[in-house]
Amino acid sequence: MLLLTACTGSSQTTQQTVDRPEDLVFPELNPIQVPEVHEFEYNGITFYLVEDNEVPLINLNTIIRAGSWMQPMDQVGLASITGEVMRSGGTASLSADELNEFLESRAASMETSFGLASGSARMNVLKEDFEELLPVFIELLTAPAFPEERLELTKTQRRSGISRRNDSPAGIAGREFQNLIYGRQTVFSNTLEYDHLNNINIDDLKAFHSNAVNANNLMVGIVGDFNVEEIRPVLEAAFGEIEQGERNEFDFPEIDYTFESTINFIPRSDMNQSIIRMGHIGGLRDNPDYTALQVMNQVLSGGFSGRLMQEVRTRLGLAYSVSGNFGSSVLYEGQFFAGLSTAGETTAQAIEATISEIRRLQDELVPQSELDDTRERFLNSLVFRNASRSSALNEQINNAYLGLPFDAFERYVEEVREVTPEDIQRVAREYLRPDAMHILVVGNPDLVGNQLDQFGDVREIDITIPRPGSMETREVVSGDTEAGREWLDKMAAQILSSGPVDEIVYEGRMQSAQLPGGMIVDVVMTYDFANGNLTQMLNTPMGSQAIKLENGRAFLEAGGQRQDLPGNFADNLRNLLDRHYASIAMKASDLSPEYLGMQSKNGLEYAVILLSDLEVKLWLNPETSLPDMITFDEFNPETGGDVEVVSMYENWNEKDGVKSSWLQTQEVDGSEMSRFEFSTHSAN
Amino acid sequence: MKFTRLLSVALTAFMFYAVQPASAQSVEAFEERVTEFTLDNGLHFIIIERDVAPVASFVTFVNVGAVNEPVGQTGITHIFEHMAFKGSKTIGTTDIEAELPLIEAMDDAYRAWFRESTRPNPDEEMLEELWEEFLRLQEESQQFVVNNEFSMIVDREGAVGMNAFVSADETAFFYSLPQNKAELWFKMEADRFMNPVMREFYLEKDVIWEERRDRTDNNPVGRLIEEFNSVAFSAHPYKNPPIGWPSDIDAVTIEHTMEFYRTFYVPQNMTIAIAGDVDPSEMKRLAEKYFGPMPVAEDPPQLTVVEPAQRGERRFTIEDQSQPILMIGYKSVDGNHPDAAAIQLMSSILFDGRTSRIYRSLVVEEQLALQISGFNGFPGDRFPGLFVILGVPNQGVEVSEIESRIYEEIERLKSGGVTESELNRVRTQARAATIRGLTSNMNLALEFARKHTRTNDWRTIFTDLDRLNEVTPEDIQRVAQTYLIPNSRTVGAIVTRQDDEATASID
Repeated sequence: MLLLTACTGSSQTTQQTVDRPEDLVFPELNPIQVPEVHEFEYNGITFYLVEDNEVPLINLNTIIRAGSWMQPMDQVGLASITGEVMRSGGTASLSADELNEFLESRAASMETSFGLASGSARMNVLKEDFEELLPVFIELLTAPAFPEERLELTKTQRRSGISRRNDSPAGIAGREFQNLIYGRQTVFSNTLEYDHLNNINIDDLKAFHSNAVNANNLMVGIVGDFNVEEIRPVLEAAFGEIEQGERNEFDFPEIDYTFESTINFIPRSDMNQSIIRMGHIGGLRDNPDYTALQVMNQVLSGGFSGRLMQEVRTRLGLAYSVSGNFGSSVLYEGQFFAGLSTAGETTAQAIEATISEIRRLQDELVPQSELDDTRERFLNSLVFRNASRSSALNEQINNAYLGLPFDAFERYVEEVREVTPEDIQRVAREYLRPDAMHILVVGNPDLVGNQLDQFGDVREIDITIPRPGSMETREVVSGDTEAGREWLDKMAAQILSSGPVDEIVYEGRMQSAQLPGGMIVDVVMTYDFANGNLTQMLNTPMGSQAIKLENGRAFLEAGGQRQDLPGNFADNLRNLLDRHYASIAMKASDLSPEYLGMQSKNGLEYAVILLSDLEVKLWLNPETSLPDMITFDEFNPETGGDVEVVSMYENWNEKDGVKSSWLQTQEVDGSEMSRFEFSTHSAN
Repeated sequence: MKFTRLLSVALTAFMFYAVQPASAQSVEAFEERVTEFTLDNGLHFIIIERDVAPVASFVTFVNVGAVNEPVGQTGITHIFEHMAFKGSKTIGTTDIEAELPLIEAMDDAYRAWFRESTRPNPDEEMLEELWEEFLRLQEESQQFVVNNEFSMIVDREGAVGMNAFVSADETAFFYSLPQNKAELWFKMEADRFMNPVMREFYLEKDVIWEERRDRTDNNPVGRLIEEFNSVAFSAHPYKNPPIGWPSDIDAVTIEHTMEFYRTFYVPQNMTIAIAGDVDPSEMKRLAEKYFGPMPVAEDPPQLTVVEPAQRGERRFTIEDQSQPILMIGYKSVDGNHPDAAAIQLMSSILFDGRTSRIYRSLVVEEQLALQISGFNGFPGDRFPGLFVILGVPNQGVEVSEIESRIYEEIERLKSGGVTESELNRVRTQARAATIRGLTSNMNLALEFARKHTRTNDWRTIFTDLDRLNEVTPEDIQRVAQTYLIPNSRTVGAIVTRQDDEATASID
């Protein structure tokens, strides 16, 4: 349509004399040489071969019918780690280091991997090295060594990966959107956690490998500088040794998807941009509407000529990258999504502009000329399908692996020619639900403000990385509940001599490992138990600074500025409030204390009470019944492990009906982190 | 449109492919398939015949990069690159006669607003009026725009991979077409570089702002790199980000951009390479027909800035909402320097592949680092740049720990040298990587155009490989001792912002 307007428009101006690119007459296209794919079967394995003598290389790929769909849900990562350690650990005859030197001195490569629905072992070698390297490849495929230390290396690296997974906002958006569509911890959206790694051992890798690699699970594709007749016996000899076995069947769970509209926000205070994803479940390849949906995709998001790019980027200048797709997979439902990133201030405008393009597909017929352009783009670029010899090979292997007809693509091309504007509108109305999308925004709360409220109730997604152990049921420690109750009530009575209080305020001085060397500053701590708020006000020579927990959010106030603190920070502050001895005393009757007996620490005897609701232990002084220590384990995201936090309370004083400690010291893993010396407290 | 040579390139894992035949053989093989000619106006063409499929790739390579930008106009190379997709006097418009004066008026209005907004005490009321006037003219000029017509036309004819990039060193535009549509490329390409129109200029700057947010502002590695280059270089424009400093992106106007275009987009500063199933004589005929009329112009100015010797180590730290990352750079040499080959091989011995020294020690044995990579020629290699190292520590490992281990490995190389077998291994890999890269039309066209631009001869691709053969273990040791010295070093790191600090100090 745009092209037509351009032509009619310009014919009335000075451009009549200018010849248009549309007027060019092109010569016939040179003939397309479709490479011949030779196919044969041996030992239950199908081989696909294409000769290509442009460079003296041979490229072999073995497709393995196995993937992460087979791994237990508490061992996320097992398939991909198996693929990694298969290669990194070497074989029985070549250690990891020997294998690396052997390959790199020949500038050869061998790699192995497992994805969701398939695995692969591949090598790329000089043709003269092929026969020497093939047995090494077969050994790597069938008998990898799986040494323990390489699994440990991989686990260390994956742990680092987990700790880094929230560094990239785009990474957060992709992961969390997937979770919204498929649910958390499913075959299709399984984020690796520390606990999964702890559940994986070397025997699990060996078992996964042995279920994966047998002749009946393999297909082999090979392209390069060889002669089919000459190489066939070499392949038969090498792959003929592989034992037959049970063929894995695809076993993907049904996706139980309910359409709903949700607005999800992930706050990141360091961003000036919002990363936006919106959409819902997609479809299956095996659907009579597949082709019409693909053409619809192209109209909406087919590169620079697609509507999203035209409108949201070019006309409105709201984004650099905009994309979308109605995903249709052979084995499971894909996802429909549109995504972009835009300045924090224009978040709502960009969401609206994107939704309105989705709606337009339903509300208006795509003009015939726009459809023709879209179709021409596709048909004219088909010649690139055979731009390399390996592309024909890959297409054929892919169809065979997934059980598609060998001419699936040809049929698709024929169907594309038949799609009408009415078809596109019909499938857009049937499959797109702009009123029932999950909308996800990762962005800066200060810039996004209340922009999202217009789309519905905003819910915040917590992306705190779960610490190890949080996914399994906690170890059950059984203590004496009756004695526990007795001890806790005694403690409560000691601390609160005249019943509950709303607030305790401490004044004094503190020093901390985070303050410059030995600096001591004035501090006022306000524990507002009634409202669940907490304030730490510091007066330093550089000015005053307040850290606050208010209405569940944490922030920092200094020099008239307010800065949001991340979600895990708020969690930590809430814990401080909940684990304060006065707070424990006030809710003593709601807790389930367990007496673990008398235990000694630092040479003194204490009555130890476990409060599993709060994950803390109270170390009560048997003479005073006061908590001289409160301990708990805290996850340190930097080390990926737990650290023990010990709070010590001394110098107890009673005032305003509350007994409080005026000397409080906190140690983390044995080293002192902070020390508060209060001169007074007040309570009301 | 994207930048190459961002460090993320170096972050990707090692993959290499092999070919060992003598390089001379390859030069000869290519000689038969390569045709070169230069038009009278100075525009050079390289045609590489490759008939694997009836398609061809087209590359326009311009010897202008972010290093060539005037003061206060960083990012202008990239802005013009974006504008080159906006069409011409005949593409992208319904009425050029009406459109051009409006574009000029819009630019005048923007400059009036910008002048006022950057005065010490801008008059707010006036500012608002000027901005309204600018918006009015922008909207008025929009009515003649045919959205993305340039890309619609070539896409419709089956173009694939249409894109462009700008780096510190260079600019390139490229896409592939069915081979019988070569004339379309000639017509569209000559037109956009002979008759550019700065339509939708300020809207496109909004897109560029988003690109900057995507790549730099909201990306920890992007932030680190931008800071790093600005610390490492004192005088040389390698200190500037190709996307431009924020205030410069705001400051650049259509007037500046057209001046930049007239200065650098001249025939002798451009090289065109075409690879695929094409007939060289037909390409020559079309080149003369479409690019022949490109006017002869003065040579663009040469960059004469030379980075002065560094007087001591430079260090900085960014506290960030990200896990730690370490970056180290040593002042090094340009790509044509006699020591470049030895430095390249030294870098491979240290960092490339599973047999490299630092991968083996820091990643595998000591498990200190998740990833470490290094290479020479950052942010470019047209001028002396940096030998740069990027390290990602494992969980719980301090950046200082991997930093000192890297220095120990460097010292080990300086004092103990390298073995002949290490050297052979990385030489084989370098050769293999080069040849393996020459098996697609697009890579061929890009690589031939780049080498011609840098060295005036595409054959350097192969003679560079010969230079690798001449490097001895002593050379490697010597370049390590010469260049990897603390005085010429810059070290930058991201350390995780301790928001959690306060937690520990509250009780």
